[in-house]
Amino acid sequence: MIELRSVTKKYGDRSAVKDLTLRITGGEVCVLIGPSGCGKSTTIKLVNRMLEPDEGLIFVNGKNVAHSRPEDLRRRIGYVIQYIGLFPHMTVAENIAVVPKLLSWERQKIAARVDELLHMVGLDPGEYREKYPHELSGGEAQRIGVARALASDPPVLLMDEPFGAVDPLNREILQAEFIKIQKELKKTVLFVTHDLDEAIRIADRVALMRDGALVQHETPENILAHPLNRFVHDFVGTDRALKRLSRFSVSKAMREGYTVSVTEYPARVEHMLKRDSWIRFIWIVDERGMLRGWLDTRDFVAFGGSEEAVTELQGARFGVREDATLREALSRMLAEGVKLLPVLDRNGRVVGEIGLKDIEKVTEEVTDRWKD
Amino acid sequence: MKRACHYSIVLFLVISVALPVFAGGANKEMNAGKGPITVASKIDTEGALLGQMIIHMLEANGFETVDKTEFGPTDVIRKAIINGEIDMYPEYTGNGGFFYDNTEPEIWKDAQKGYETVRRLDLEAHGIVWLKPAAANNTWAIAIRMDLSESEGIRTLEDFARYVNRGGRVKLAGSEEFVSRPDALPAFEKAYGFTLAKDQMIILSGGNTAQTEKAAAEGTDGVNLAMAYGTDGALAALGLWVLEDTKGVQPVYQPAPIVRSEVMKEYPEIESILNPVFGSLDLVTLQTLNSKIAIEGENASAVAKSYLEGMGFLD
Amino acid sequence: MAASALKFERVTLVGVGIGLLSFALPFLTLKPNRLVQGTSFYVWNVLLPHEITLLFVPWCLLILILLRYSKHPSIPLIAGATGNLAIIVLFLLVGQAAGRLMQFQEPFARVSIGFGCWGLVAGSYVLIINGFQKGAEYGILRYIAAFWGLLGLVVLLSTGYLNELSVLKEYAARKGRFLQEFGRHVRLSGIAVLLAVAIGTPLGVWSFRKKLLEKPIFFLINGIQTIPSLALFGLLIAPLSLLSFRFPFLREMGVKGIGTAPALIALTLYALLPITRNTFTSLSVIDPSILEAARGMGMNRMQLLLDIQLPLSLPIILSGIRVSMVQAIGNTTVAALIGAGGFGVFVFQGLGQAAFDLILLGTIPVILLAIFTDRLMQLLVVALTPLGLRSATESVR
Repeated sequence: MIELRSVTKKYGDRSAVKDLTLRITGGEVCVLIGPSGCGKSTTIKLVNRMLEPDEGLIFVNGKNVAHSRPEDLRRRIGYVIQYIGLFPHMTVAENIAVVPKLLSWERQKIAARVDELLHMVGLDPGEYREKYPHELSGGEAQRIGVARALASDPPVLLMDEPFGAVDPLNREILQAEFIKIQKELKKTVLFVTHDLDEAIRIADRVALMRDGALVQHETPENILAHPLNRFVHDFVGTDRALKRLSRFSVSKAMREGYTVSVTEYPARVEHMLKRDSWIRFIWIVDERGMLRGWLDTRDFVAFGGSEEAVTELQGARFGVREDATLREALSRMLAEGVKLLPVLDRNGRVVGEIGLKDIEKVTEEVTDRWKD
Repeated sequence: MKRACHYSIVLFLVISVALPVFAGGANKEMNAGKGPITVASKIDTEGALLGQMIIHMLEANGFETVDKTEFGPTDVIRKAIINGEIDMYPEYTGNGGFFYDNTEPEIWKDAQKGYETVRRLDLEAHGIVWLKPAAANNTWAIAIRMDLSESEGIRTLEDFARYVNRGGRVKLAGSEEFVSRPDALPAFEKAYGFTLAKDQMIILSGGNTAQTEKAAAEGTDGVNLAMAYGTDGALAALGLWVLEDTKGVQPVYQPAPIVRSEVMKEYPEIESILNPVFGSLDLVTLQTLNSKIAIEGENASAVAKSYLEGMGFLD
Repeated sequence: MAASALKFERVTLVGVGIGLLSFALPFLTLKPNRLVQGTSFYVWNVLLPHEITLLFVPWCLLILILLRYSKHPSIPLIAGATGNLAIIVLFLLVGQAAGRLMQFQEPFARVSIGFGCWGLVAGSYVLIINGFQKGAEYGILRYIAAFWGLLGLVVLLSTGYLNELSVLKEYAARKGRFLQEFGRHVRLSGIAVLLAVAIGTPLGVWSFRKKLLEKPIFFLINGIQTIPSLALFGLLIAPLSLLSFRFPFLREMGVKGIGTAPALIALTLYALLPITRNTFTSLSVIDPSILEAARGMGMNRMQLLLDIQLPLSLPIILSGIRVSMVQAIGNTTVAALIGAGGFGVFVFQGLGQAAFDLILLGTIPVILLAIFTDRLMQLLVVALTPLGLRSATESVR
């Protein structure tokens, strides 16, 4: 875990960081965000002593950072920066191996670790080990940067706008990979970004800073739902309700839906309607449970139970995955022009349904004390 | 850490290679023979010749020598012998007038007086011993094109003065020094009663008689006179005649070997080895030998050796 | 069609032009002795008709190539190879002609190379260098095509075929001395550069690390460059003499006021600028994010310098060393004036005797040595550049 206690860092008369107290639990991703000059980059540099504080104490895993030599401290903390800083005269493998070498690991151990890390960041070791940085694309270079930071398996990771120099498409991919890796490794991460969407996506908790001070330090859902003051309210933007939806997965808000297998059609439908006449939509699935089409019960009645009432899927994907976010679900609804979507599992089997009303239940949690 | 080792190895190699070059310049070579004696000379033909003669003579008499002939110009070589970096080289008696400029200029016009004066002064001031000089006056002179000399019957500077004053066409190629130093051209002019106007002269920077003689020989820019030194080897070959200095205006420059006194003390036999050789050299001999080197392009060492062998000095 | 094609190979055109013009200039000069002006002989005076044709052949080939195939990318290299052919043919015929001219002469007559000959060499040189530079894709072939003429020339020289030429007669009269001064020249310039590396690289690193040091260091080193070499040699004589008098052990080591010591010190001082300047610059153009990442990963200052900064600076530093070496070779020529030896000895002898070919004996080796060293160093720079830096300049902003 990382703890800053009343830390101040001054540049002349100006305080970049003012009496900052911040506690990050072990295994947590804390995203530092705020307007330019708020002190977020300075804060991260204080943790690994790239900058020295004027006042206050900093602890990593319970130990005061000032009590170790800076080099030793840094070798136990992973550090990723925006422009990565890969060493151009070293191969990818040598780049990754830097910290292990500094820690005098054995050659075998280092080589094994390099391959392991390349796998982890989604690159084939055989192909990438001997490449040089100038042969890598932007996205690949960023991954190597992350791999390099993780090389000595440090408990703590400091990341200063690591995906800032990458194009939006690659950025999303990298964020997803980061989330995936973090799920496995459970590192304590202090992550700096200026991109609110990124923060919302990956943070366990967000620390919003302004003028060197901490303004609000909570989960993204809470900050978006209940901004502490005017500044936070303006910072998170007017579409925060929407943004917040990306924090929730469909599986949380979905309900059980009604499914009828193709073979059971139309008899089962009649049966269901007799019992619960208010059923409006029924999902038609095959023997395996895969979505084949859907049925508006009013059509069923109108067409007299014939197969024509069923709208078949013409190979297009319909429905939303259960591990998708509510934001995606809403997006899909708007795109399809419907208010209800089937929810599918990884294999495409229908496991429930989600409607606009379910989504609204979540957005209603957002309060609006600061509306102008 | 590995890198630091690499860099320090390189550094070590560098220093250890650099040192031998200094050591390589050292004179001391431990050998059973006599010496070694460092023999130098100035960078001119006659200097090379005389230097090589000294070397051949010393080696034939069991000395180890270090050949530093064609070492540098006068001031450099002078410093070198005073500092003990070289042991001997051939110097001109008349140069004593420059080394000791508080002496009477007239002394240097007399061969005997000049020699004795510079011998005394150098011994006192620097512990340098002058050995017996050659009876050849390698002094400043004016050389005239042979064809002009024959057609107008000009053989001496007096003849020349008459020719000039008659209005004869002349153009002299000389160095800045020759033309302006009071004991050079102005001395000639004063003694023989002629004056050369600016448009009768071409001034070359640097005191190079090879260039002036070449200019006269080729008649470049109408030059028909050249600044020259008495024993220049090119004179005969270039068709130039040295105008006789019947009034003895110029200081006398006779070449003699000069040696550091410490070396002389240790090997006094050097004197008896070299004296006969220098005693045998006269103006014409030196001119001929110089010409072999300058004109025929022969090796100074070879020319020196064949002369010494021919004279029986090397038995 | 021919005109537009020719536009692409302007340099080859220039080379061929120079070569062709040279045919009209004097080929060889015959002098009755070393010192006098000689009479000029033109190509048609000393060569038989079939020999003149032979001399023309490479140049005709070149014209043909230019007119018809100018656009092909291999043209410069082919032209360069033909330039080498021209050189070999030229010197073969020069040897013949020189022999003919010397036949009924006194042994101290001299045959010198005339302007026409120089022009043909110059034209070929242009073609060869152009071919070398533009033939990068052809790998090892480029070296063969560019330099086989040089090999041929070396063979001709070693068999004594060209011994009738005046330059070589001067050489023959001084063989031992020539080799001795060769050694001195190489040692002097080589060691000066080595010392300059040993001193200049740390100086460059310090001036980069401590901003305060930068100005004074470069002020001094730049100042040294402005002192003419002869003056610097002269200035060093007095203090060194004094020192070697006071401290006898220095004299034992061979440090004296005159000779090698002042020359070496002066040459080292001159060699400092390119090396120090390049070390400094190469460190300052390293991408700062590389340094930040390295520090953030836990490298200390020495590791940063040795494992990151110096390897990345190496190509530029080596370039500086290359410049230094070529400069030093040239500067060493003057060292002969204070008794340090080197090829300058022949230059000054030649000047003193007004014997042009003796001057040549001094200057041609210096030029060749400089060119050779330059090429060698270029190869070294490429060989020692870390693989990762060869194609890209990612580390340089």
